[in-house]
Amino acid sequence: MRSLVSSAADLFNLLLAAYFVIGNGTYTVLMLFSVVSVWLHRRRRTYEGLQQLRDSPLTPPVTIIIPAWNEQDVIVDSVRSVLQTDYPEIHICVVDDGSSDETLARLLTAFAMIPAFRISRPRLPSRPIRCFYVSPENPGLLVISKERGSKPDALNAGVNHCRTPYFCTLDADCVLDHDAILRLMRPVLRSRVPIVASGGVVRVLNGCTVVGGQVAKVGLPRGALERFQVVEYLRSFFFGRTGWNLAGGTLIVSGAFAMFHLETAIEAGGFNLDTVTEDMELVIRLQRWAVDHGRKARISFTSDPVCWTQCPATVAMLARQRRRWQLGLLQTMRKASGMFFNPSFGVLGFISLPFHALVEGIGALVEPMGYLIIPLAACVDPARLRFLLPVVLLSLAYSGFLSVSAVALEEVTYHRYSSARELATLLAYALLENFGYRQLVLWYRLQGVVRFLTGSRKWEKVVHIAAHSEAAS
Amino acid sequence: MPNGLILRFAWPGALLLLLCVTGLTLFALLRNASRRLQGRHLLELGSEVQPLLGALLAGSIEYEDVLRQLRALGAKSRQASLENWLMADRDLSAEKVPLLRRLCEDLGLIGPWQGRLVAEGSQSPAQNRHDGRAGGRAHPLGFVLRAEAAENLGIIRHRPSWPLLVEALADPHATVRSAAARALAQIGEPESFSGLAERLRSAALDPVPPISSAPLKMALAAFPLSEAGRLSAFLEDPCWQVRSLAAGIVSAMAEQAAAACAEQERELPPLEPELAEIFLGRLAFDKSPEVRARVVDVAGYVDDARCVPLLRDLANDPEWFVRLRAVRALARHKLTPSSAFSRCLTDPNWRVREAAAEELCALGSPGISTLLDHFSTTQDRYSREQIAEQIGKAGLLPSLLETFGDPGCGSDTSRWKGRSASEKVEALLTALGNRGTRKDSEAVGSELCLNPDPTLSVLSKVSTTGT
Repeated sequence: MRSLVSSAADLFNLLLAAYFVIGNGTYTVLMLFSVVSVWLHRRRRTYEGLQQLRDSPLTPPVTIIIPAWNEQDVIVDSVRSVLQTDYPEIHICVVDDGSSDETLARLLTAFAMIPAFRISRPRLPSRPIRCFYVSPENPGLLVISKERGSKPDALNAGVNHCRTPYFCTLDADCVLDHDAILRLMRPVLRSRVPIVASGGVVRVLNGCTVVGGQVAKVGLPRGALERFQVVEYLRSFFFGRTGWNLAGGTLIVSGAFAMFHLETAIEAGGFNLDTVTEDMELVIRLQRWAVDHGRKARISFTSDPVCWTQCPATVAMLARQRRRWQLGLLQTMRKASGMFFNPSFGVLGFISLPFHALVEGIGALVEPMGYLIIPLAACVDPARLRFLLPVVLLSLAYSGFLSVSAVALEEVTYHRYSSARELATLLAYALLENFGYRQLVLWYRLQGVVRFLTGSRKWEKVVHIAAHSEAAS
Repeated sequence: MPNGLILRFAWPGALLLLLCVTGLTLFALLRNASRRLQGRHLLELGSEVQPLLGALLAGSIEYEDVLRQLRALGAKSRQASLENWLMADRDLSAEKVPLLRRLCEDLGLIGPWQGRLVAEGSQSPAQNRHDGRAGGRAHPLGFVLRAEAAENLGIIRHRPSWPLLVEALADPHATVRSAAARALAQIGEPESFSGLAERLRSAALDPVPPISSAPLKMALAAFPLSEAGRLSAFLEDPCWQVRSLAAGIVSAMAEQAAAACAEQERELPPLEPELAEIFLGRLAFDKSPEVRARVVDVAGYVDDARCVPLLRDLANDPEWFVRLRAVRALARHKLTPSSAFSRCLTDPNWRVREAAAEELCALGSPGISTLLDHFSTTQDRYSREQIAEQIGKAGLLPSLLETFGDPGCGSDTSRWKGRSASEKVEALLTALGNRGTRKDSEAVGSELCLNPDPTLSVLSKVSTTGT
């Protein structure tokens, strides 16, 4: 027994060391890329020419598609936020995905909407539409009421009724910065290579003050769970996405706030109904479509268009969200298996996809093994601790380093959490994240892996009840 | 062996990382403190500068007084902050720009901006070394300063700087090139037009052009339509991509000019004869549908006897997007709806049908009449469906629904009561389109007659004729 545990501990040590070197080595490179990229982008904001985009007749109109299922508490504020967006021509399409609550009724009342006749010319698959509603007060607003499907199904319904060359997907619990769409469109118009998808930053809305559909004051949420997520979002968007974007290996633009080229998205097949992370799946498929059709296409990520989203405030909701993310990641990786180590896909095929599959996907199994083996090894052979402890400490220290770096980068660049107290709190949470929160998230990721292995396709809804209204204090 | 390695590197690594974490934490906290301190200074400066600028722009203070006070504030260490405040409003109205420009000139800001623009930008490191500039080595982040300088010169529309900005179009950094193009567009110096236009070919044809087509197009389109003649050579380029890009620029110029003329309630001046000949005589029959589509856009704005017949012809173009633009362009001429519209209402492509219905509706009473006549006579199911949608979009259906939902109207409303909104809409449209029973049509007709809305009266006539 003793030798078995010792061998397992040795093997695990090796595994952990390899995992550590691959994972953290990549993160280090991404971090370096991101620091330069975010800092430069921040500087460039002073000469960005937004006014020219605003004034030019060449700035294309955009449709914002908001899929909503049982979002009665947040939907009206979200639509108001979008209506105030600073963009030359914007259309809004809210797709009520068969809500059983008052989502539709509240929309109809708040915006004085009336039924309308629209022709359905489905180019992408979606469940049947019940009725269309338009608002005489807001001619750009269209509400589609359809039979219950899923989020990708609702998005496809919205895409089918989109008449603009670009569309932007927006979650129903989100609030946009007033110039977020303009900033999201800027790289699309400036790029020398056609951009088929453009993503922006998603930040945590909890704790912020929302007035008239706009974030008036940025603040930290009260709950520890939400604060950990603030750090997590900073790390994910500033390091992960910015770094991958610079390296040319973008795999994800958050569907909570992302812009797509309409015809390319339709030609690529639209949102897939088989995955629970339809945004990531579409981004990968767009890149595969471009290679298959010999087209030049880029995915862009920019760090200054900001969308504020309500993060889960309870452990139960966090569990749903993380299980879904993990399940979706693995489903998408499986679908993209033909792209792994395929030279046609460059950085995406050789580095980004394998990294996400290995470190983000299967990695959810490696860490829990450590939590089992280390105590076991310590009991059976205390001498082993001499080798195991430094690895664990190194792993924790590196994780803390990445989180603290993300907070420091936020302070150096956009400093939206401006007070010293808020910064100190964030730094403290960046360090504390490894003790409890990380393990909790890991547990849900593990559940996500189990669901993937059991073939589950369940979309777990994160309910945003009252949290938004608390934010809108 | 691996355990030995781990033991050797893990502890020092962990300690190093912990040190880094501590260092970063301290750095972030100190940076926050310094930023807030700097912010306070900036606010203090702003509290002095802003009222002065506000008063100057409002005309309540003498220019010389403002200049004297700003000079007193603008010690070298505070110059950057002063620049920030001066250039903070990037959406200045036309009458405020000369004041700000004069202020920048008198405060000596222009020279440093121009200096930054040429210091490292347009020359190679070797040339810099030869000229003895910057110790022969370009600042790695110099492009940020150069782009800022270009942007500032554009904001204040500093006309004498245009040659430098044209030079900056060849800057090694794409960001500076784009900023220079924008600044040239803001300044609008006619002489600089050719400098920008020279980049058109590469923007249209290079896989990774020095300046991408969209910013270049935006910059060139910001010039007045009278400059469009300078694009003649590009409009006759052998490559369709170049012709299409150039024609797109003229189309955007025409659109902007038309909007400006409409605002000032005056007629759009005609295109130069040579340019009109290129567009209406040659490019209209171009092999490339992309080019023809751009011609259609221009023909929609220009007042030329050849435009309307040309647009009617192009409404039959083999490419749907040319037909779509033709129908939209025809509507801009605000003539009596022609058979071209009716033809487009039965176009095989739904986008063309949709555009035709929308444009007819936008033409007002004669357009709606044509639309409804077509609705009651055509046998084309898709065309009727499209018009039905347009009736809804035009805001007619709500009134209809209201009329039929109101029990006081005097007709047989019970038949409507149990139906959903969409069913009501469908029933109404069926009745209007003479596809329903005689009773349905009569009911609809009599209801519509009672409604004071004049557009509904038109519908009533259609309905009555149908019965």
